[in-house]
Amino acid sequence: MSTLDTLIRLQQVDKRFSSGLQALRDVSLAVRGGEFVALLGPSGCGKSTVLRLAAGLDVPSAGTVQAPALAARGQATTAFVFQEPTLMPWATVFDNVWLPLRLQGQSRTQSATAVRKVLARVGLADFESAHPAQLSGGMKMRASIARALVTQPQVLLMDEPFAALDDITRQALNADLLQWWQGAGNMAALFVTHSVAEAVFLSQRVLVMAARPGRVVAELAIDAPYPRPPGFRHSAAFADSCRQLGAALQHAHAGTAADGAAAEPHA
Amino acid sequence: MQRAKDWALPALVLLALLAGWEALVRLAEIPAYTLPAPSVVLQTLVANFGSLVGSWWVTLKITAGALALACAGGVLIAAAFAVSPTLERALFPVAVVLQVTPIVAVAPLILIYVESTTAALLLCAWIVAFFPILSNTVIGLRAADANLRDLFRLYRATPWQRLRLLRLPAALPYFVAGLKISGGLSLIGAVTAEMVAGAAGRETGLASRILEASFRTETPKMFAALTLLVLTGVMIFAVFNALSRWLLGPWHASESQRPL
Repeated sequence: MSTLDTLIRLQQVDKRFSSGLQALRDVSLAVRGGEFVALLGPSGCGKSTVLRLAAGLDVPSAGTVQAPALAARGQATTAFVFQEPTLMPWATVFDNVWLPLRLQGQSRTQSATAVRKVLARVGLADFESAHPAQLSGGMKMRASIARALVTQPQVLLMDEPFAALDDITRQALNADLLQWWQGAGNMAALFVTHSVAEAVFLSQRVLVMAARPGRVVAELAIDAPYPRPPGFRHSAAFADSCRQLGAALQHAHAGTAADGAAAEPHA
Repeated sequence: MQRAKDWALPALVLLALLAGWEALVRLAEIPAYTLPAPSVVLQTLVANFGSLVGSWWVTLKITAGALALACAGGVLIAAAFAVSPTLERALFPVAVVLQVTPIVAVAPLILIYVESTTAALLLCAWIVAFFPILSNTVIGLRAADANLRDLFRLYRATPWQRLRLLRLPAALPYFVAGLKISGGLSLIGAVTAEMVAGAAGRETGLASRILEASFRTETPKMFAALTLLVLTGVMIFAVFNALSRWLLGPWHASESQRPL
């Protein structure tokens, strides 16, 4: 598969809930294979709704959504990492990570190699028989990501996965996440966050969203190679991107589309 | 050391109560047919052990049988309700009616309609015991985390996979809580039904022995049978507490060792 293939495409999507709340209005975006895209915005701007549409967990009220989760039958092409670790508390770490393969009919023995490999990759090799209650917040999130990666998905959707973690753990997981994403070939990552710094550190492209109704108001490319160079967080380019995104967010909040360096979104 | 302390205090309180009872009976010279001293109860228990244990076994079989049927029935009906909300709407009121009807009041009817006394006793005990398991399991089967449900949808789990891997494990703590209530209730149900059935029949349980002893004003024997009933109830409680620790210990907050 070429990295240029568009995996997720939302075209003029509206989402209105039965409560009457308009979560999204005229949202168009595209994510290609191998891309790392961040969705940045305040709470209530419909970021999570975009992810749920891309995962096939919700349907749009208007417009079209194309995503591997909607096309393939019986294949785990899409993985979802929630804000909470969302592990089954009664199951061991191994059994939690085994789950996506198990749901596809793979036995414990058939899955063991894949499960152990991904557990080693996220640094939980020694914890496969631990229960989630015995793990720290960061380790639970590692297990949650291991579960997402175990099927080698084409698309990784993440909904503020590190928002509840302390800053040190969060930065370590951000750096690790980029490694795992790079090691996963052409996997596309769509990462929802309300942290400007996190969006800039992780992604190639940041889509800025505004609330009520949720819409994409700006887009910014982050021009830095992967792996991110040492000291990237303290570079002038990093600060500059953060400043531009901060301005875009403020414009959005004031009800006007951002201009200047942050360009109009393209479909 | 901590465990010894956990045991020592309640044991001391129990001993003190028994000693006070013994002293009261001796000092006030209360006759044994009014209130027997614990020592007399113990003597009676030892003297009649052979025949009382036979009756105890009868009551225990009814209790255990009713509880086993309550588990099977409660969980199966709850699972059926989980699969079909229509079925739940249709049948849950019936379950409520069964639950709120006082068993002492329906037991005579059941004894008329059901020919075998053992079956009638089982049915009475079952009616009392099954509702907590049913209603708790029904709630538990709906208690799975919303994000986990989304995850199972994302991976296109079949209804059977969802039930087995998500809904049943999530219901387990609720089921265990129901089991702890039903364990005691099945004993109460069995004893109540026996009381209504009276001392008739060849195989008589502990309740019939209590009735029989009361007709003959053998108060110490009543207490001896009662002691066995109490011990049985405590044993059931201990068994289910151990079961709860074993099933939920590694993961559920209710069995966490941390202070509240």
